Amino acid sequence: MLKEVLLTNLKTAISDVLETMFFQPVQIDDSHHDLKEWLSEDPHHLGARLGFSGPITGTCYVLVPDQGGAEMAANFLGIEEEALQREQVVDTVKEALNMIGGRMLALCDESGAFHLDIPEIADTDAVSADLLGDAEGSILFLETADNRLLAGLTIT
Amino acid sequence: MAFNVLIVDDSASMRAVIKRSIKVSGFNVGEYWEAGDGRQALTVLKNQWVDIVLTDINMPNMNGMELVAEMKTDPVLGSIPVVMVTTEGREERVQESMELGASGYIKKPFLPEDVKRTLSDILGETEDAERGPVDEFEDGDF
Repeated sequence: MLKEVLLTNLKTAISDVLETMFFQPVQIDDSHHDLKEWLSEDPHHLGARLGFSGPITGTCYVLVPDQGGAEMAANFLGIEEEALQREQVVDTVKEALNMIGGRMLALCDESGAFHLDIPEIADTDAVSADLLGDAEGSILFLETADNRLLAGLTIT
Repeated sequence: MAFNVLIVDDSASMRAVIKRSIKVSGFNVGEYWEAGDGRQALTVLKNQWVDIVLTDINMPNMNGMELVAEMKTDPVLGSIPVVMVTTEGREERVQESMELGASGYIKKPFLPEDVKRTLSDILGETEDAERGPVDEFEDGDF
């Protein structure tokens, strides 16, 4: 299966998940092409990674600015951002990646060929190192109405 | 009749979202119980009366498939309907869970209507559920 197919399905999965459960229409942000430049626009980010195995083995990632993570959690949980605890934001970002990864792989193959790991939190440096250090790494820069996020994919 | 519901997911946020989806679906729920994995769920099931279980598949310690299999070894627990709420879009995995004894499944991402439809199929319609689409939210719901 080609990396392009995975990327196309990743885009679809992100749209499905963010629009259905986070009420955030999403589109590709064509103004960014460089991870370091993207990261420099916000001081703090929240990241998560999710491994998968099957016909292709790899990892998918999301990175969101702290404020973007809080907005996602507020939309997901239906509570005000001011009332959120950090743990709820972290858990929401992990669950978002879990749904995105599952949806992406289901779009690739519904026959049962893939296995999903448990999503885990990952710091920005680790995600950057994975995405920039892997020749197969691919990055999608995305934006919602008020926020932005990054999704990545590495194939091992 | 009020139903007691057990929601099993390693994500506390997802448990909250499932609970809210059930609430807005109009079902008459007595108690909500929560568990972070299959083992915790079994502990709840052995100590509380539960009418229906909604469980994720992919969880640490004991996953949703193992939970269903374990419940089916007990004549009392084995009679409780189980709904798989999962990112697993894989037909084979869904089929496997149904063969183990699951009563239905809901794929993430889901809409409140998906929860309502599945629970209606299993528990039967409620007066509120007969109103049609889920459109009457309380403050803070979605």
